[in-house]
Amino acid sequence: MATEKKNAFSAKISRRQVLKGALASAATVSTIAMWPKILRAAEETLQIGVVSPASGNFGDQGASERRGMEMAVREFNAKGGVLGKKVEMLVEDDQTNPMVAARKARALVQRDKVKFMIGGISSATCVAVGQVADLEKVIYVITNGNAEDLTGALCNRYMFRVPFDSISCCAFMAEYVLKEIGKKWYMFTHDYKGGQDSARMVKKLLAKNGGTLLGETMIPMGTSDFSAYLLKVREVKPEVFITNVYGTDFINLMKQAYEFGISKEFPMASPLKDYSDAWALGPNISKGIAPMEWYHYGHPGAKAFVEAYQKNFPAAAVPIPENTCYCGYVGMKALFLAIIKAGTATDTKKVVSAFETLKFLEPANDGEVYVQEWDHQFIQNYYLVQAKEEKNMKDRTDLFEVLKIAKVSDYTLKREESACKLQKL
Amino acid sequence: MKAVGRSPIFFVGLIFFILPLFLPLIGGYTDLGTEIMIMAIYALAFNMLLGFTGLMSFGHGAYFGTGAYFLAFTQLYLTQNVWIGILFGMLAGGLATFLVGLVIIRKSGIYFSLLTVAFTQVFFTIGMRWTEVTGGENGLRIGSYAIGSLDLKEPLTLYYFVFAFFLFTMVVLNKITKSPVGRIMKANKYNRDRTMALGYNIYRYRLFALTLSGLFSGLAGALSTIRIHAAFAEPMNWFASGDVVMMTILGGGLTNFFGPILGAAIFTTLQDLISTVTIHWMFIFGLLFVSVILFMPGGIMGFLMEEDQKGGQAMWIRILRLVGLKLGRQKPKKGEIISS
Repeated sequence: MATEKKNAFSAKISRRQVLKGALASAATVSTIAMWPKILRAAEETLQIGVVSPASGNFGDQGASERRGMEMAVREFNAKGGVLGKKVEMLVEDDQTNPMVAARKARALVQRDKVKFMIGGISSATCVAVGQVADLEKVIYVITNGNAEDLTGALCNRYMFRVPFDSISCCAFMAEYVLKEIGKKWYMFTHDYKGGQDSARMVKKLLAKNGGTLLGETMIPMGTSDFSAYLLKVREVKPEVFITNVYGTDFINLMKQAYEFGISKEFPMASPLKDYSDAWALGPNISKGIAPMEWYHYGHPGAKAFVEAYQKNFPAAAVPIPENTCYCGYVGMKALFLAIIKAGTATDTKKVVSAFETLKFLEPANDGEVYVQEWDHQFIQNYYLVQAKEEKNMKDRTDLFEVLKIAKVSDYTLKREESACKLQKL
Repeated sequence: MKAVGRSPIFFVGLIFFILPLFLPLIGGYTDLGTEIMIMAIYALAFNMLLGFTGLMSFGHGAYFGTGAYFLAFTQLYLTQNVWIGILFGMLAGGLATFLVGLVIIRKSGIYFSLLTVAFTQVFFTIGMRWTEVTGGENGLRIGSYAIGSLDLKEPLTLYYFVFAFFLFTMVVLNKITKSPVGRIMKANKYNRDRTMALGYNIYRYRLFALTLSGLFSGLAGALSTIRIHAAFAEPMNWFASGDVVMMTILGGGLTNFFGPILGAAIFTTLQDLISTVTIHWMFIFGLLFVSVILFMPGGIMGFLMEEDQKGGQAMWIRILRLVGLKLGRQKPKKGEIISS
């Protein structure tokens, strides 16, 4: 006879109880299983799949872009929706991870049957979602991924990109800085694909415009101590110190650059900057010139957009809309306008065609927004900004001064130079 | 010898054969079923090492990932033939495991496990950094496969394609566990020294088990690339490797051949359904895992297969009895004589 098993299982809890517990858990699991179906009962709503980071490196920027998208959704729903249907966002967290992003995109298409997807901060996630969009023939609007490949070698007919590409931002910044600040540069490059791509761009622009790169330091991802690297900058004495570093590493770098006095001694610039970085650092530590998709004090017309944001999100972590928020808004709005123009929310081919010839006036950006039909890049105004001194700030959100405004088409690749070959519909 | 009709493989095969009909009803979809089968192949392969040979590897992601990448390389540089792609993926997984095995197989216990972690991190780093070859963080994207007029991009077509490999894996691995080689693998688990004393070169059998497990992990990886049209470095990270350990133990791989399949199904389903509702799905899975370890040490399959201490029915039969299905031996009434 088998000996009585002495464990918590046999001593205190009878099998009957465990069975009951198991059946209860099974019931719970199946309820949880039904949950997405209950939550997402389609009815007569237009469902837009949102693949955006809620966790990981870019969680904050993800929250910001979703606020922008939410503003567009509420704006259109207040006027009766899109083609008579109320719009609903199905939000999935991509965890700043391309494999997860692809999985979520596939679930949105195959389980929830969405025809439209939007979102993305990390370019790697945008590439992954873009591939799903291409395979499943659903539209995907990239709201905040800047890698040039997305409208270059990796472009596809169903993917559209809202923010500027890494070429136009580097070129805009380089032209100004080479002319106004100095030609001898030293660069810190974040050692991952995004940083490496921008570095390549910077070197090309320097060569073309008579600048020199005195040296480059590769910064491994996750660096928290920059002291050794910063001492090198003081040694070399460049005319401009380029910080091609992003995310939390950038925050650490700027804090230490301030402590060492480097940011006071040397003019700084970045190929790319998000408002949220400056907000996290505060006015004295945030320094340098950089291009930004949008700035809330960029022009007087933006006031209405700022007020709408504050009315919608009175308790938001950031009291004004950031560049990532604006991109989320204008991307969602453009998608709605394309759907309305095409007259259908189910025939994605028609919406693609409508999108490619889309043109509208965006008061928040003081100008026209349109899509380049050969690579699906959004063309609109963008800004070259410089971090402000505290004494010049109008209020605690006025972290930048606008140096120059340009249109993305002024600096992006011309059609003949583009590596993008769009497939037939 | 049980008739084929009664073999558990037949029942598992039948369930998965008709699964696409039921998946939409519980909020699932065909592609989820395909993913479950791929994870089940991975977990069954992993269990060849854990449940049967008694070696705990936290680095199986390396072989899954190798299979995933080599299928991609085959399609991108060699041929559009999916069978050759899968073959190369499998062989690459097996070869990688064999080479790692030559280095680590003589170690036991914690040293073995630590070495598996170290090796998988090497693979992961290569995958993430060798951008020219592996695509780095962005992964390596491939196009769709077709077999004649069948488009493997169609969810249902892909499902049954993977189903064929799932059956193949179950049959082959099951046969091996029942073979003389399988018995020696089990002997290594129970008493290494005694087996060696009997004259068996235990290390050769361990290497065999490891390579076998790597071959089929590579198969799972290759099928995964076909399904998601891309190979990534992520599965080679040691915590992703930990996923397959958890699902195997949860399902009951330590005591039952089919345990890993159940574990894979539960893990994959929870991941898909709960992560939509909250990013903290891992917390719920973690709770489930801890409960199972505490109350059902043989895993869920172990619990279901457990027989009543008084020599009665297995648990799963008694559960079904509760809902009215009368199965298995009936308990004799007092005084009744049973003619067998």
